[in-house]
Amino acid sequence: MAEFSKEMIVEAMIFALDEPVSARKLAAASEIAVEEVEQAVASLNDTYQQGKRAFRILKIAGGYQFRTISELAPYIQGLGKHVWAGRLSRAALETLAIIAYRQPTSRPEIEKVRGVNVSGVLKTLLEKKMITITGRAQVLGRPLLYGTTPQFLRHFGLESLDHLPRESELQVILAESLVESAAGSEDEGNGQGSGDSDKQQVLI
Amino acid sequence: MTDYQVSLDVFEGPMDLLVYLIRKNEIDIYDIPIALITDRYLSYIEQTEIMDLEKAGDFLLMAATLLRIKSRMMLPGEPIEGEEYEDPRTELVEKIIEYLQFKEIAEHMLALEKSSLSQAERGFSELDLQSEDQDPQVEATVNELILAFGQLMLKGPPPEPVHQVEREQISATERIREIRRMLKKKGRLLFSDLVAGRPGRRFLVVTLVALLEMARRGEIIVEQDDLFSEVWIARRRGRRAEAARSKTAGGNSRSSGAEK
Repeated sequence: MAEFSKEMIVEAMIFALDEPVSARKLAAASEIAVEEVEQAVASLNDTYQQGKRAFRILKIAGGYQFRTISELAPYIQGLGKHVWAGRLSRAALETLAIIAYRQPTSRPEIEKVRGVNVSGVLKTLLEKKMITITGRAQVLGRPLLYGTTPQFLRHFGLESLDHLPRESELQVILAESLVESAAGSEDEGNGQGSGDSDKQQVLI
Repeated sequence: MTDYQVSLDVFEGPMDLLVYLIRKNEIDIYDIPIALITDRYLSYIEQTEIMDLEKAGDFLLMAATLLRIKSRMMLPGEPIEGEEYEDPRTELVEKIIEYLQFKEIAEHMLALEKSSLSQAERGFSELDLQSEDQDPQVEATVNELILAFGQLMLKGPPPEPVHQVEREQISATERIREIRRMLKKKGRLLFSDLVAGRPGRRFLVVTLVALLEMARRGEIIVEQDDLFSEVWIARRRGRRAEAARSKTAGGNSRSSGAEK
């Protein structure tokens, strides 16, 4: 153990495991403390950057994982038949968004927000392991409850669910996009109802 | 009135259409002119043929909702004591905002997905790169095929597909008689005792039907001590019960006014 630096050990372990591995697990498998694991990763990433390596160690789904830098994406995709494989459809994304923020949630609740039938989408998301069944609701009909999976985090490159944009932040985003679409049509006359033109965040 | 050329299939659902109409008519979402929007919505629906029956239902539900809100706006209801007046549009507006919020989030997630996919994991196999429409590949070689075939051969030829129509083992009427006999002996029985030792769904169903009929006639009382606990079937006493017992087809006791 004395011959190898902590960085080397951590590097080997993260390399060996295909999937994200937590600092705790790494610490448990070696004699390295959790904080030292984090330091080692930071130091490794510095080395990679300076050495102009094509990869970094990212923190995804609560663990560390090797990922290539995004700039080199075209070359990776050149290897396969399809670019952007595994991408989700709009409908899937919207449904997934609802589940991610409202979990655990049931199909009726999801459909209430989206206004459309989601059973097909749910099936797809289950197959792709983006969501899983976490139980049954205690209401009439006892519908199944859904929640997101670690695979979901991995697919979107998220460290944890907390790293999704906060709903409060979204109010701002919403307002901005509304302003943009209103700006285009402002020449055609004011919107109905309120005559107050300062109500920017309200006009669609 | 604008001529709507686009078919309703363009819209995923009523929310989609509603948002489109709001945008197109430059409507202030916090002060929706409900009459106007309902009018536009309805004319849109009337002009287009909705192919999907299930979708049609959703669109109609929204139409009904809009009409209800419109009528509420026109007729101020009596204010309930202590409660503030609630704008009948509020619920709908909140729904629309929520809907738009999640559309926004989905955009975000699209960007996240793009970014994440551009950072390849290790072991990015050929399988990942194939079209997502294909069925998951099952790895099988010729060897496995031969093995599977061999196993099938060992099993022997498949049996002739013959459908047997089973004769009914026991009729509900007979079962009623049976239950009556059992109750006469014991007075009070557990439901589970009634079906003990006689397997088969058919038997269970016949028993249930018999019990329901007997309960309806007033022959028996059905009791339960607790929610979800065992069910007791008891022989009911009294003239009415006696009458019911003797009245049934094939009743095994002669009609008598006396109590037993």
